[in-house]
Amino acid sequence: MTALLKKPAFVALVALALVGIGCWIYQLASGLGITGMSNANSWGLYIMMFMLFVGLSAGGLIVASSASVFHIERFKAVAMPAVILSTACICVAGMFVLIDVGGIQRVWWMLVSPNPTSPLLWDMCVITLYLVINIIYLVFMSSKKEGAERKVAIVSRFALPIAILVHSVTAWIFGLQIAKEGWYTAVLAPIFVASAMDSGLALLLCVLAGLRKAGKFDVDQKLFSTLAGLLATCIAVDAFFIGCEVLTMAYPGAAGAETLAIMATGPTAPFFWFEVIGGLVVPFCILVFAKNREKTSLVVASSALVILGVFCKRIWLLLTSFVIPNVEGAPGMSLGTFAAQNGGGEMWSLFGSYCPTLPEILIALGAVSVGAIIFYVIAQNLMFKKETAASAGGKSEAPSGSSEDSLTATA
Amino acid sequence: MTKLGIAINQSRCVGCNTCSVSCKMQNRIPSGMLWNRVLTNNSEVADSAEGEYPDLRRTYTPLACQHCENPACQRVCPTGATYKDDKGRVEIDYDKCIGCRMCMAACPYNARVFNWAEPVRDPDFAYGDKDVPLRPKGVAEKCTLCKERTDRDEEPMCVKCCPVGARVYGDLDDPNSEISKIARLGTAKVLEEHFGTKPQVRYYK
Amino acid sequence: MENKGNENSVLVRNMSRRNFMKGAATMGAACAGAGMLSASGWLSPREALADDVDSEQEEKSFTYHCANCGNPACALECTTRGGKLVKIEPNQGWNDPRLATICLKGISEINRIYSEDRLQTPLKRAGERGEGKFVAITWDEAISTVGDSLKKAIEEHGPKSVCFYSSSSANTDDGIRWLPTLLGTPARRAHPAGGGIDCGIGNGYDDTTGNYAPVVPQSSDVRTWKDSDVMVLVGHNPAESRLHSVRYVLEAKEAGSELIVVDPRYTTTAQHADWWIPIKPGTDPALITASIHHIIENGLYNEEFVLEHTAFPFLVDVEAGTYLRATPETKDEAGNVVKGDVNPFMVWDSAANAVAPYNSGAAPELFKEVVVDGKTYKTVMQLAKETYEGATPEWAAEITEIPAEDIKKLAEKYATAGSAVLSYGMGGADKYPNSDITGHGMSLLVSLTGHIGRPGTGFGEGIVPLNHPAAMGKWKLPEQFKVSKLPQSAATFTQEESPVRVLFGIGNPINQLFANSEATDKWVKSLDFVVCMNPYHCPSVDYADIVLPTTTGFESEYDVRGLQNRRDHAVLAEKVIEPLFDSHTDFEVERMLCEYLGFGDYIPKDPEELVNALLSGAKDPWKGITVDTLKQNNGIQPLAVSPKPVVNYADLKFPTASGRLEVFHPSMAKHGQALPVHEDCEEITSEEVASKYPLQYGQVRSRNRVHSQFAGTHWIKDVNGEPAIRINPKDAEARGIKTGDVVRVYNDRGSVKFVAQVAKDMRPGQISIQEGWWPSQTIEGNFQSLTNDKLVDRQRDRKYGPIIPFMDTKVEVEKA
Repeated sequence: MTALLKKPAFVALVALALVGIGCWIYQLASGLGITGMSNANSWGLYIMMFMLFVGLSAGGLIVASSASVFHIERFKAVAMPAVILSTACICVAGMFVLIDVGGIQRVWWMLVSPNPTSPLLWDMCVITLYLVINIIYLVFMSSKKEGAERKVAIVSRFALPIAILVHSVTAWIFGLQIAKEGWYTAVLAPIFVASAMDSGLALLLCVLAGLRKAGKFDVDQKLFSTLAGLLATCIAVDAFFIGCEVLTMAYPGAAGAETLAIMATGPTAPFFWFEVIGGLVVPFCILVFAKNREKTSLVVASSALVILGVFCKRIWLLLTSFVIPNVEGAPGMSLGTFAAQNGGGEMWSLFGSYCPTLPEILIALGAVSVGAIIFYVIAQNLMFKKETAASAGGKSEAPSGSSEDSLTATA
Repeated sequence: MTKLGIAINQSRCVGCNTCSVSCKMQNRIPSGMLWNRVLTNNSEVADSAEGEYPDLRRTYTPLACQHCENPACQRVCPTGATYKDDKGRVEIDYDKCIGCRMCMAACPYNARVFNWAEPVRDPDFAYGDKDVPLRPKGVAEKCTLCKERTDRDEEPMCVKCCPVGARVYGDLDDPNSEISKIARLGTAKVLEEHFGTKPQVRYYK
Repeated sequence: MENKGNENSVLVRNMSRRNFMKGAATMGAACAGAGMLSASGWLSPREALADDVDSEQEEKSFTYHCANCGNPACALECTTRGGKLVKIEPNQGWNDPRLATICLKGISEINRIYSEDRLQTPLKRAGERGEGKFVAITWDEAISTVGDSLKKAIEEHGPKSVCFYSSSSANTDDGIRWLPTLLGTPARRAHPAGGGIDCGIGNGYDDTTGNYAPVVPQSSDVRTWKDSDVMVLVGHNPAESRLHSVRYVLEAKEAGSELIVVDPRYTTTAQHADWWIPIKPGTDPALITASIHHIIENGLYNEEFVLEHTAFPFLVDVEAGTYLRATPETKDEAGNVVKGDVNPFMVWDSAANAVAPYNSGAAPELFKEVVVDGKTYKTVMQLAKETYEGATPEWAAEITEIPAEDIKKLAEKYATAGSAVLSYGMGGADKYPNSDITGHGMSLLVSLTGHIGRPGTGFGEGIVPLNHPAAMGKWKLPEQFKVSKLPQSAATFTQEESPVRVLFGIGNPINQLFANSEATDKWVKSLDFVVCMNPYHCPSVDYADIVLPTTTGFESEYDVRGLQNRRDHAVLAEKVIEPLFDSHTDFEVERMLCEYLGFGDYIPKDPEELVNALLSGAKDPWKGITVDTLKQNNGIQPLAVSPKPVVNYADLKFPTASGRLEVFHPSMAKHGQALPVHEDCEEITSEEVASKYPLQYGQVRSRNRVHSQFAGTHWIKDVNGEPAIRINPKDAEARGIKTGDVVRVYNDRGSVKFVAQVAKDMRPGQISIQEGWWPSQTIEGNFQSLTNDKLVDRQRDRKYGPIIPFMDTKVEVEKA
């Protein structure tokens, strides 16, 4: 552990995490009003990040467990980093939900008097189950015991549907709300699962590339390219679902078209178009060509675009539906923010609007940093190539017959 | 069965906000938010109008919790803090509210407000009905149909104080009540009917 | 006179709103941390949060205080806990539940009385007058300084050098009631004559009925309007200005009465109208005279009424501008009016073909011109026909921008209705320089149609349930003290020489009751001494040499505060809470001054003594009502009067010389206004002004206000928003103005900055603000700096003197 602390990157992560925690304590003391949220736009960065990280997490686990379920032997090589990534990401997602609630000290009521019709309750259950499965998966994957491989296979058969379910349930938090025009659609769960697949896979590719560059973990270039090809397919599926949704919204030229207009030309337009062009079209066009898939830098760049694109999707999906209230009229909604407490004009808004505040951003960065630390620590223990004294400080070499070689451990 | 509700006469409403302010007083609502608000329909500025001078039209819509028969908020509350009680009112048990704001996303009427900060009151003491609980930061709140008053068989404060008699309170399950008669009028409607929430607040002319 | 401190003051004293908020936030943060750690905070936040105030004993008290939106109306049931006012509800003890009223302003008093604008201690000026710099002094020093200044001024310059001047202040029947009479100095309280405000229409109307009240009281109880066919409201917006009674208008509409609203803006009342007639500001006389034309030309008048109850058949000496009477004496030696039964008015007896007394039973000819002894006489009706020949609807259409067809239709509806009500507001036509002509013209409409004296008819200002006659007793001052009249119309104070050297202001008179604040500023600064008495640090206070902090109507040193007749009910005002800070009731301030000046024995020793005097001298309807019975009945008891709503003039007898509606006004003959003739508003119609300042500037009544009261009240601002001007989309677009832009509103007299609201209900060519914003509340400047103070000379010959033409103001608006 102390070795870790010598690495500047790690120190930076710890620093960010501490700053984030500090801001979170400030939020607990002062209230969620320190964020940019208000009664007109009552969910913000935290829920966007929550959606993003559930997706990132589920994607990784879907890849890892598919390897086992569909007997794609080659993918098994990356199952360990995928599951660690999945674990870290779901922890981050869970953190964001807890950060977002106004009364964290009362969360235990969900256990005492759960309301079975609440998608949020379903999500809490599914995420908890999902985390447990991740941990079991990790345990079995890193176990040297007899029969560990068979147990991994069994777990993966649970992990795959649960991974699909976790992001579907997250989607249902939004997709079942009849009050929000931009959310209420049957295709939202498929969209989220598709986003999970492409963003999770993209993150995995980036992490693999980074680990390979840092000499912590090797990935076969062909496998890498194959995964990049899988990513292209996932992007296509995601784009298809988005396309279906957009067409359905636009076609009748009624209320849906109004919402679409906000997405396409209104306040959330930049995020919508970035996702469509930067997050779907461009990466697809790059990755569809085999030649491009062989270049790590292009794959990483495309993956980064995909992740950013999916993040933009969370942004426009969440915010668009808050912009126009169903019952319109002046002076609008009473905001309840710190500024609104001064009364008068500052108390009202006709439309929902949102911009994250600095503490909010720092809390988000802090949570992500904690996730990175979790990944780092688990990976260090379960996955990374051990540095020999000779190789410390320089580029690490290929492993030398260590029984903890991850390439064989996950067979 | 009891199904309490309010009917609002939009031919009488003069948009004065006495209902909003009387509710604020009674329910000890802190600064920065209101449970009831009076909207000038389809306008960007309060008391503006629809159309172009002089062909104008104006309607006010006082808006608060609709105490729906099929409440979207109650469906999604993870802890059951939001519940529909035996008098047909949709209420919040503040002790159970974890502040997840799922209800606020689910409500089609933006009827709920949230304590984003420590409640501040001006004047700085707890005005209003002492039976009304003071809410802490981090919980959602909304019109309770003046639960404390209606439990005492008194009408909600907004109904009592409306200077033009635009509000009627009563039991929609009692076919002889004034509100039931109003509900049967041709002009009686609910807001956003297509959402299927079946509000117990009716608007008529 | 010990200072009456109060622990309430610890919380609010010396805290500006921002400080208050910041303090609360940091306190809140600390408490939040603590709340998290305590078990009860975790598990049952509700219990942890119970406020100290909740644990205190709850008490109820009853009062009628309300900031007086024009008519004493609401009675309040107040709840206190721990000595703090926590709830205000309508008193339910009326015999008609519809009378149990309250509005957002009354409720917001919970917030307002604890506001940071409260004056907390007597103050003495420490800088230049108008700077608003003060030092705190004791009540002893304040009273003695004021008393000495009053005495000095009276000794050196005579009693007319002092003027007590009230605006519609924080209290209703209080203020300074006896001291002016005891000193022999004039006082202008709320709505008397001679203030230049609210008496414009009365100026023209009252000479017709002979019933003199600057604000013409609506002659029929509004609850009878459901019997009307037509209700015409001119420049009247009761949906904002009379929240306590507008329901009866809406009920009348629901009962089938047609509601017609004449107003430049699409007001809240206009929205409920069956027919809204947009009119160009300041052109009401044209509309009215054209209606008169249409009624006369088409024989739509009520001939029987006109012949029997009006002066229309009377002969007038056209050149002299006088009524022809049996003898020329109109006044006797004592100066009293000679009645028509003594010296009859003359009509033309068509049967006898001769002049005859109007009360001789002859059938008069309505249209007649006759020459007798070389003098031309015409009947008033004949004169009217000729006078209004040119006042065609087409002519009026050009001036008023109302289509001629609509003018005709309006006239027809009003004239031919079985029963019709005509009502005006003080915020509209009354504030234009031709308001006396409007009032006079309205009296002709009433006289031509006979819509008065029956349920469903009526004329006057506003809408209210009327009180039956039920006089209270009076507090009598000794014989030697007489009420002193104003030396001249107060409207002239800021423009002309006057004997006034000491101004005792109660409320916000300086900024609210004079137009053209620059002129007011100069005048006030030229005075010898200025006193201001108010609960709040309103703009007038900044001009004071001595500031006296008074209580609001909820506070008193005494258990009983006052008694009023409100809507045929005896309503008692009790103390609700102790005086906040170091303030005193108006009563107590007056008592201290009177004692200092040696008048202590002449005035009640406490308000209860006054109330008992009012009760003991009261007429029969008050029988059996005492302070004790009122206290036992939650402060309200119905008077023993008829349940039938009041309809005045039921006998169609008017206190004029002839006993009839004397539509021809000889006193105005020299101004060519013996019969009302349209006159343009000077500034509004001036092309020269229009080239620089094209927009008319209306300072309008609002539900969020009683004039300048509640302007800063937070609970009101929450639903009312920031100080703003409202401007029509066309005018806004032409100037590149969007909602939320800061704009400068200016003319030659001054300049103000406001936020703009682009509002579709605004008439193009007109901008409006809610009246009464304090200069400290605008972005920059004083809304009153723009208003027009030019007086109309003709009106010096009117009963109530010239009015201040606030609304005849033009401005330009630009993005700031």
